Amino acid sequence: MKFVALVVALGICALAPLAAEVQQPKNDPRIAFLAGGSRHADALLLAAFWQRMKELNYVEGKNIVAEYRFADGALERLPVFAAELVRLNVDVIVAPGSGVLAARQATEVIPIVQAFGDPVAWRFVANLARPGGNVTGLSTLVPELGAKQLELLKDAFPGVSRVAVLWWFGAKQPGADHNVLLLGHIKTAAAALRVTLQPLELHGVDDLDSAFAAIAEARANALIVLRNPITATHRARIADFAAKRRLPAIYTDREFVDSGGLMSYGVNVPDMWGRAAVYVDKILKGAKPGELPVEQPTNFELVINLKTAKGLGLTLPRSVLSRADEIIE
Amino acid sequence: MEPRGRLFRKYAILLGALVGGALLTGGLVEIFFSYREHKTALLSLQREKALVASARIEQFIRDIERQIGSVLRPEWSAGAATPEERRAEYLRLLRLAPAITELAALDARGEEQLRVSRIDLDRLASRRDRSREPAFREVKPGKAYYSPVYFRKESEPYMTVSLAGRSRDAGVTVAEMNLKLIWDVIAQIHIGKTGYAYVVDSRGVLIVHPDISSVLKNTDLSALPQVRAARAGSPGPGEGLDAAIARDPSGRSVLAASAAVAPVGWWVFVEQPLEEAFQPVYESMFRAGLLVLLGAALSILASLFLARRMVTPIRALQAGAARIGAGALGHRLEIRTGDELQALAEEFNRMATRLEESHAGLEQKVRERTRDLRQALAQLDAANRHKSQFLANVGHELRTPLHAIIGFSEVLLDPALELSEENRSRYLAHITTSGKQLLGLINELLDLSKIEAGRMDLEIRPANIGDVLDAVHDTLRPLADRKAIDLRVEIDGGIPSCPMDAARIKQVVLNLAGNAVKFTPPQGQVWLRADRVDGGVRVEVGDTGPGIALEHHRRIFVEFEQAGTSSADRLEGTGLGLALAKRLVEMHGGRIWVESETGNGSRFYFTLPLKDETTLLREVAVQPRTQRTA
Repeated sequence: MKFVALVVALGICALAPLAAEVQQPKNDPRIAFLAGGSRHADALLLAAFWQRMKELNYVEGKNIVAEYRFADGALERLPVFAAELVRLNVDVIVAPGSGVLAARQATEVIPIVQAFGDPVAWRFVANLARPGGNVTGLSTLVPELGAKQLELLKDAFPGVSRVAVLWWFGAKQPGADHNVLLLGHIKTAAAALRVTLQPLELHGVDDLDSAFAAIAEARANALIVLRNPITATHRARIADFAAKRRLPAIYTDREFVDSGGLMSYGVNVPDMWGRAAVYVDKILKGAKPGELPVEQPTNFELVINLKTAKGLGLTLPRSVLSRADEIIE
Repeated sequence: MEPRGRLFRKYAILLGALVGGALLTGGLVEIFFSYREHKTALLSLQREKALVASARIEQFIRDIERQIGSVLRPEWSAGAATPEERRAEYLRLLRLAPAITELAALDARGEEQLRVSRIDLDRLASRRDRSREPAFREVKPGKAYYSPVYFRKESEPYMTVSLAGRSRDAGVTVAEMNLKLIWDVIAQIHIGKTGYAYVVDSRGVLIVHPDISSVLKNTDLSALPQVRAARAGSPGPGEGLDAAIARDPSGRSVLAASAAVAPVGWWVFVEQPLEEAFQPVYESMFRAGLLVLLGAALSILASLFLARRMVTPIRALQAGAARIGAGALGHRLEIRTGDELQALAEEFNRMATRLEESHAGLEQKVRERTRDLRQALAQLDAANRHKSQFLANVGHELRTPLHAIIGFSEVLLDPALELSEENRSRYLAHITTSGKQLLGLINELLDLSKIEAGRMDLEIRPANIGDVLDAVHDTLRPLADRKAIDLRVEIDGGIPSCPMDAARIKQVVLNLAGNAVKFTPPQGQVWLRADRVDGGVRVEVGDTGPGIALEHHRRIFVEFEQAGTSSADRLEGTGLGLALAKRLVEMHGGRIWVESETGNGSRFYFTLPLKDETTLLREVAVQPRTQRTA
């Protein structure tokens, strides 16, 4: 009988590993946001991100933890924040271009999802198809859009002949090329559409006033505002200026329109942040960032603020209105 | 563990082999069938996924086709709409179809009339010659043209789709379609942990793959067996080929299923590495195998146990039987299995009991037989001694008168002796008497031996006993008178005749009466009497002689026995007479006995039956005497 007991015991021992599947308890994943702007200003973007995360079954506080590091314009704080996040050993860092730069310098291991910007131009990735490295995400830079924005302006206001362009060249900052490339396409389009361009380079917020003065002096009858840290932060002021001068203006994204701009044609930034959530989900499930291709946006939205239009005393043609993806009343 | 007898081993092996074999066979059969079922299930599942993927892709493409078709208006080519209106229409379509990035209208000659783009500047009536583009050249009315997949900015898959109007004049609408949605569909397909899906075009070139870089390398997969099979099979739209085992580009074995995406001639492949696909199968096979082994092990143990249970009582039986066989007849088997073995043990015990009893009985019988034998031996010994004694006596009895004859003869013949006439006569009388004595003895001996040899023939005739008595009386009268003995015959009147050998009976009576006269002192009495008794006649010969002691009553009927064995006690007579008388009487079927006490005379009786019972006697005569002297 002892023999029987021994055999039975052996059998159980042999079967146990098969039968039992020990579940290792996992800690909740931790993600971090690293951005140069302010959390308040980016609230919409964060909201879009979390909304998408919820659809993917992540609820902040329940099964995922988030760290927020916003520099509020003080871009020199970004590297400090980045080091902190690395020490915290977060699982993923989600950031727009500026944040990505700082994060990339701090770590080559922690996955970084770029929610906005141009990873290729900024050399965060080797190429769009196979980023390699630890950065992936969205490439929101479509330089050709510049031409489209001018076209839309002309479609909406056929009388437009002199167009001012607010752009920015921050040599050491990522995003510098962005505006330059856009401007290039705008110039090409201007030649085709037979309008005169008045590019106005901004170096800092102080340049805004002088730019405004220059626009008024040159008697421009339309305005294109390219997105950069300066214009993004002071969009309300720009909108006010346009309103005062009764200038039809087109912006690169809807945030400006929400703040009073007339119309925008470009990438839906919150949508981009939503798509960043998809990346985060994939990475948390084990995908390697280097093998996730960078997405380029193919859908651009036309947003029109009719309230602004009324305030400007401008009416837009029906053809343009019917093309709008969203109309703010 | 238990003893390793051969029976045990046999049973253990047999049982173990049977049960284990059954389990093993059952288990193996189960495993085999479950493997097949699993495989079939896996293959169908794979196939389903392929079909689902292809359906989704197809849906996507058809939607685009439909949407493009919706702006294909024949009336436009006739100039029914202004360019502005057409542009507005195209822009509307762009809003409705997010996948379309660019839409262009070519006239019948292939010149671009309108191009609307999301990104680039729209072109109105550029009249650009696009007639050489395959989108224009290869499109046929009613059938959409699909270009090979190409990539923008090396990461976004695009395809050109063009539709032609029904008539040649209608022109062609060309659209650039973003296939990212397809990529999403494909990239999302996960089979197990490492399974995935991919799409090849009609040439077998990889166009969609979860790892987009492999697509960018323009990988040609047409050599893969599953791709070859798919392209060769060419099932209709929505049909899939049965899943099969194939190889992926890196050479690994995979389980592959495919489905066609009909409108574009693409193939969706859903693949899973074989080990992973079959892992649950292997696991369940392993589990089943383990269970089978466990079951077999348990069954072996059970069979050992069972064999032991079966063999132990048998061994007990064997040992017990051996013990009983060795002589321990008191040993009993103790088997309580409640079955035939117990019954067998009980039978064995019963048998042992019977053996014991019969053994005891045999011993008893042996004892009896031995005792009988000893008795027979003793009797034989006695008889032998008796015979020797008899011979000695016979010799002596024969010699005595012979000596007398010879002695007297020598005296008579001795010339030296001067004998008187009187002595001479006397001596001659002695010689004659001795001679007669000798003759009488020899006659009696002869009679005795004749009787013993069974050759004494009796002449049985009815005769009157009174005549016999009278005859004896007459013969003995002179002797009785000489001793002044009163000799008389007393006979009852109605004594019938009995069957008898009268001569022999006379001999008997003569012997009895002679003895009476011889041993009775003078002035005594001797009588001869015959009476009627039940079934026969009784003869009495009585005297008033010295009588015979009780202890001698039997002996006197034995040869040479007289009332006293020493020669001092012996009187005249041969000692054979009574023995002969007993034989003769018993040959007649009668009985002879004596009633007498010392000092009180003797009365000899013998009976003669009325019926002839001499046949019995013959048998009686040849049987050894020992039987009669129980």
